[in-house]
Amino acid sequence: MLSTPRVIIIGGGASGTLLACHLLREPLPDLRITLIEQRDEPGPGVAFSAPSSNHLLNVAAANMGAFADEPQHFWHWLVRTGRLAGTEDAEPFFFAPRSAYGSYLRSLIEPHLPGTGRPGRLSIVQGTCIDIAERPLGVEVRLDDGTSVPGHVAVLATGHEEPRQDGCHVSPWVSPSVSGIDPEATVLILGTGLTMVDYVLSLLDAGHRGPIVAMSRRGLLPQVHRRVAPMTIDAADIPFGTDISYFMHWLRETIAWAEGRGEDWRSVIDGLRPHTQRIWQSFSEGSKRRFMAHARAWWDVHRHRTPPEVDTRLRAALATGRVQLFAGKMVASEERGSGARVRFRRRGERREETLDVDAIVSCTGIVTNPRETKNPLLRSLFASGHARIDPLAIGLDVATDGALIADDGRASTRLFAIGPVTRAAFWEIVAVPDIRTQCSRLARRILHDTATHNAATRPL
Amino acid sequence: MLTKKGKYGLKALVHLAGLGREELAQVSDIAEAESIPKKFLDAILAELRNAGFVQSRKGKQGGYRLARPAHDISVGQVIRVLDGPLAPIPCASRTRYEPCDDCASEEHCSVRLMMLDVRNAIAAVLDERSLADMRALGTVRELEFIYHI
Repeated sequence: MLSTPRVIIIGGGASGTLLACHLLREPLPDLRITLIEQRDEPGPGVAFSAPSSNHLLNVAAANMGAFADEPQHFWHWLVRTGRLAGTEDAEPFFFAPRSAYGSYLRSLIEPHLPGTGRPGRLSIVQGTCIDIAERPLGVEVRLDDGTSVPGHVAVLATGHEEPRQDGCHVSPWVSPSVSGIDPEATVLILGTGLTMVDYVLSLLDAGHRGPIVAMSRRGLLPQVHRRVAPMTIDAADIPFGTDISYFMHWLRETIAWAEGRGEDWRSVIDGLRPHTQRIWQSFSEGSKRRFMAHARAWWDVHRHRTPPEVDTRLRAALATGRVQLFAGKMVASEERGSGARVRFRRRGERREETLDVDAIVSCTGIVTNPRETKNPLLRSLFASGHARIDPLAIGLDVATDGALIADDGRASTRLFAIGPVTRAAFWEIVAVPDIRTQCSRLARRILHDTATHNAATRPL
Repeated sequence: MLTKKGKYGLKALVHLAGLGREELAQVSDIAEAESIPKKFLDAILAELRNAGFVQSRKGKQGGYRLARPAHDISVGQVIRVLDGPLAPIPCASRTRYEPCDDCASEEHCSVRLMMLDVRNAIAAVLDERSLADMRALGTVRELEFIYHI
């Protein structure tokens, strides 16, 4: 007899919560989901815990719904729960505070938690996963307190790697006051993308008075959002599988063509969005590497844009010199008192310069080398051969359905991954519109394919 | 419609798909074997090299070979590069299309909208097949022929 699988989701951030929402949407009374999260409150994740109302979502409210077939779900929730009160001129294109999104995600899972008189289909376990063992009929997820959770399948939703936090290095995801940054301190921010923008706003909101320097190789800033409709682009229009230089040339020409017709370049970039994963998958490994080295910075600033109100504040801070922007590269840094002396070289110059700083914030992007992960679960999965690193060393090696690929090259039928850890297979898998599609597909795979195609759902 | 350029390009690539690993084919040999004008083939192969489908080596021992395994290159990928965005008529694409002289509004032209659907169906077929599939297609026919004799 087939029954409903017991699913363990490791990581209670946005990805893990979205997957739980998609699974719970199915009217299966026997479904049991265990969500394992280190922090005491699941739901928000790194991106949506920002306490300040100045931290806005980078995607318009109308497209932040948890479900792929209901992109306006979040917008309707905002309206229904009266959260727009006091927010003048709020409409679906508005960029909601991130904290509101955290509350939204929590509101989606709360009805499924155990309550008075009902067992609940979702349970939340607070703890840190250290290992997963495969059993004949399922998996056993081990926690650091010695307990373990049995299930039929386990899904890794471990999200972004925690950035370095030692010496004068502080995390961009922790507010400046909590990190103990003195208002007069000199702060060096490495990276000039959206994370840098968020951190600059945090500093300004906290009344920071000291110098703020933001540095990246090219010194490119994110472009600003504008209200334009994405262009309809069919798969038949796109030169899949070509070399990256050919592809970027095509993209520039297409943008020039669109602008010649009075359209905005954003329409083209946004029109590609439904195809980005397939484009990435069609590239050869060499093309992917060259994209990372040469085209990525350019793509990122056009693709990952800031809301207009955020852009206005940033530009003002740059114009008045509150924030300085350097195009250059850090060569080395050495400890000096409680801070560091940083040696760097400006773009196109040979001469090294030095800068004494009190704090360094790494906002160089969310792509880190998985070999250096501090996550104990990933480390043990690499060690046991249940998982391996992708050829580009940007994430886990996964099949396009999210199944983990083991050291021997075989795709697992019990271990899956979603969200940013799967970026090697999908590239653009950091924003909610991409992740919800992935969650919808994986939920279907787990509930239907697993139940019909193997013995994964026999009683444990 | 598939142009001559698209047809010749595919023939040349299928020819290259039949080479052994590390083996290169000279343009003149491909041109002769596939009945393609050599000058035209030079230009086609240069475009395919630009797009990253073939690699070339100069010199006496030089020639062309596929840059990636034949099963990794889909027929649709090749035709988009040689013939543009798979449009049965010039206006039937989303990007960089040329409106017809006698067309008042390409947004509402029913012929164009119909042809947009057609091209998506064409793309779906061509993207499902690789150069390796194409080569196998020709090889199977050849074997059947021999068997029946």
